[in-house]
Amino acid sequence: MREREISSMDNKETQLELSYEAAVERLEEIVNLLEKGEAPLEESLDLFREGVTLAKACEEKLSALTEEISKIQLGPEGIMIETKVEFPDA
Amino acid sequence: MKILSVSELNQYVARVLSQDFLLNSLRVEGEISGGKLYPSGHYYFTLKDSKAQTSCVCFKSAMSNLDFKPIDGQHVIVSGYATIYEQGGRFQIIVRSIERAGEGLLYARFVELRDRLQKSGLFAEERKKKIPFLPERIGIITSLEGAVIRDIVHILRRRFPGFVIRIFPVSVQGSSSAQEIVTALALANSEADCDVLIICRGGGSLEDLMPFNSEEVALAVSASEIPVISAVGHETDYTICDFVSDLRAPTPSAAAELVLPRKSDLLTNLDMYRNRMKTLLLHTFALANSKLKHLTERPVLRQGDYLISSRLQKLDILSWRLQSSLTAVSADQPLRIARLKDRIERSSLSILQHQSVLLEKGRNMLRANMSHRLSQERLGLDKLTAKLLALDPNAVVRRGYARLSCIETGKAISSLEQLAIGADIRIYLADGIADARVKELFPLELLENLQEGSLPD
Repeated sequence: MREREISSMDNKETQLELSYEAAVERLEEIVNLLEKGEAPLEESLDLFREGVTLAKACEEKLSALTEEISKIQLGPEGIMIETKVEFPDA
Repeated sequence: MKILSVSELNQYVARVLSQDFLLNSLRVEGEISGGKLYPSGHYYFTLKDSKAQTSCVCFKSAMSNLDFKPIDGQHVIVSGYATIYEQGGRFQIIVRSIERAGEGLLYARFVELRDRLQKSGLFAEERKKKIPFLPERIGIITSLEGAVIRDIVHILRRRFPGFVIRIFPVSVQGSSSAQEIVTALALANSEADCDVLIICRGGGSLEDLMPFNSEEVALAVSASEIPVISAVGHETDYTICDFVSDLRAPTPSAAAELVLPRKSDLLTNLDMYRNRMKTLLLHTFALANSKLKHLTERPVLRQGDYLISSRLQKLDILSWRLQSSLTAVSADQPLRIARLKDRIERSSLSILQHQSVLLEKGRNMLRANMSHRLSQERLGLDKLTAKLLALDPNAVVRRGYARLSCIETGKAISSLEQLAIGADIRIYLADGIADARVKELFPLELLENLQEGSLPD
């Protein structure tokens, strides 16, 4: 299974490449860290920046998707054939 | 040998048949053909298998007890007794009840396979693969005909605009169905790039669902590396495919709702995270700010560096202004004198004296003006210097405070962090120096937590 990749442009040191799910988990973690309020100001700001970048990457990933419906069958010589299928809305 | 009439023969056969234990209470399995329901309500049909057939009649009273409508081609078990229709000389079964033959048998087979696969561990919870949270490509193994695939597309469009699905068309009932499903599963796993598979069909009889209760499909589903969601039949139907799959959805529509989250929910969640982070960050900064303010308001700090430096800055500005106004005055002076000289030289001798007086006056005025301005500036400077002197650490010391430095490094000490118990320090007082050793350290937080009076000596 391939992971949906999201790279954080902001954080050049780590170049986060996360699945959507992992990105959301990290967001949750960042919120928890900020909630604790134990991180120094600089670090809090870095966390905030990372979180905002992650949220933006997630949102962009969601809005970039377009509908695609196809059918897959085996052709006469055992070759996979993919054909577009239309499903007009009822 | 006695010669019988036809009637006697048929009566005799009827009597023999009725005396036979087995024929008196029969259960016969076969397929209905040539069924005909007469206006009288009696149902006449032929029961057959691949090699033979026999006539059956189900009278109105028995018909009314059936929970289904028998149709040609249906596999049934009839219960009743055998007799002969005397007028026609025809052997027939008088049917008391009809049940669908497949059901019981299929169900028995289903139970047997289910129990066997369960024992072999095929349904074990630890074998179940995790369904991806946000599958990019969804493979759907189902029929292209019918409402099922349309419903799924409709629901996905509503919940998550922008999905990608790949349909593997198969027949979902009949003899070739199971093999087609197995092939589709293999194709999806080897060639097509899917993150999750949905195997589905709408509701049907147990016979209709047979392909999904076959061992070959069960094994293919368990062998799939791609996680499989099974959604076969109605909510109340359980198939082997459901048991062996990684997730059972009660209906195909439910599968569509399980496979992708609602996109609007995801976007709302992202917004929530963003707002939460913003609020928390602002809060963190506000907290830090008030802490800082609190610190700067402490009396010791109020007389500290901040004020000294701000005074120094003020002094800088003032001394610059002083300097520039001084320069302007002294630059002005020769010019004025030159002008006066010029006027004197150009004036007649008769007014020379007068001019001389004027010149002298002008000189005096200038001198007075300058000395006044200078003394004023000096006065201001003196005041500032006095103020500065008040801020001089030694002046503070004269007021009763002490200045500390580390004997070892000679550095001034302004924080507990520069001290350790046992460190040698030098205390500067107004009238001399005292060397001392640190006995104990009490950080500010500690002091704040202590009740007044409980402070150690």
